[in-house]
Amino acid sequence: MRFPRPRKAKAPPTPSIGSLVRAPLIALVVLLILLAANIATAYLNLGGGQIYLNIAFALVSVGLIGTVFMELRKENALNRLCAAAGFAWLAIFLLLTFGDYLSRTIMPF
Amino acid sequence: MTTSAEDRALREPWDDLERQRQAALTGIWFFSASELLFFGGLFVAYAVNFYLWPHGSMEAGGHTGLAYGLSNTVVLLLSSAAVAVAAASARWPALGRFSRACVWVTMILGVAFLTIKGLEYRHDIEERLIPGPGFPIEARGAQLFFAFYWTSTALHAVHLTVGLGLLLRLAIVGARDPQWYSKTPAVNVTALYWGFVDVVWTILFVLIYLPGRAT
Repeated sequence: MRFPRPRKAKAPPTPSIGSLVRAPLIALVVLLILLAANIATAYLNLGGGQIYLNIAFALVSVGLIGTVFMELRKENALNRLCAAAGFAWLAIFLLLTFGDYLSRTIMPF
Repeated sequence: MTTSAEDRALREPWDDLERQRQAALTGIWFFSASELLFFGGLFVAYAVNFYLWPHGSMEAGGHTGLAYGLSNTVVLLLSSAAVAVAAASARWPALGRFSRACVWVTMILGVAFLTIKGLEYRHDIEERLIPGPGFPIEARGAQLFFAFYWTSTALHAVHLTVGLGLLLRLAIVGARDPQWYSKTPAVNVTALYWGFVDVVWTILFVLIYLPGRAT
């Protein structure tokens, strides 16, 4: 993989603190709302199905932390691929494990 | 002999700061992906235990300290926002002080996280929630749930402590050499590591503290 040749550009003007803080601050507020929603969901009686809803909320939060706090939205394709690879392998890990467990006959104790 | 800020920020084998930055960022993303799989083993073990013993897992989840977990989640989210701002502002020398102040805020929040964690551990020990003889929950799978709890939160705390060390280094070296601070990719790399620590906690929080609340 070839990286683009870095250019010797003149330093851009210093941005205002407000412009740097805006995106993380909005993300933080959304993350706190998601957290509140997640806890509220945990108290709903969905017959054990809450955990899937909770994990879904957590994955949305993880996406937000990745794109805004960790600036994945500004990263190049290689770094995005690295981030995605971690989750892809985790999915394979879960898939193969549950391919086994879900197809087993478990003897009652 | 005095060296330029570029020379102080540049490491072998790179001869260009921008390339060093690109390589360092790709490196930390690779590292985070492999670390996700390191924690992934624990997540899969948790999932299997939850599948085999849903009632024991939920009953055990109901015994965890939600107030501790919730406050730690809020503290860590605040710290992630602070470190994200530190990283975004680090490269402008005029914002160096502001950026390093954000690093300090992150560190203070990190220490607060560990303190709350310590209080939670004390509470858990008083409740005898340690797998082994005398464990208070009889349901099958509950002890395995707490084995996951202790292992994963302790490993997470170790990662967070490493992050605190990295932040402290940025704060100390950055105060002594503000020009180095605005050139080095270490600020972004440390912020990404801290972000990863928060990502792991976001998943752990849901797995540990939320099951068994509705019952």
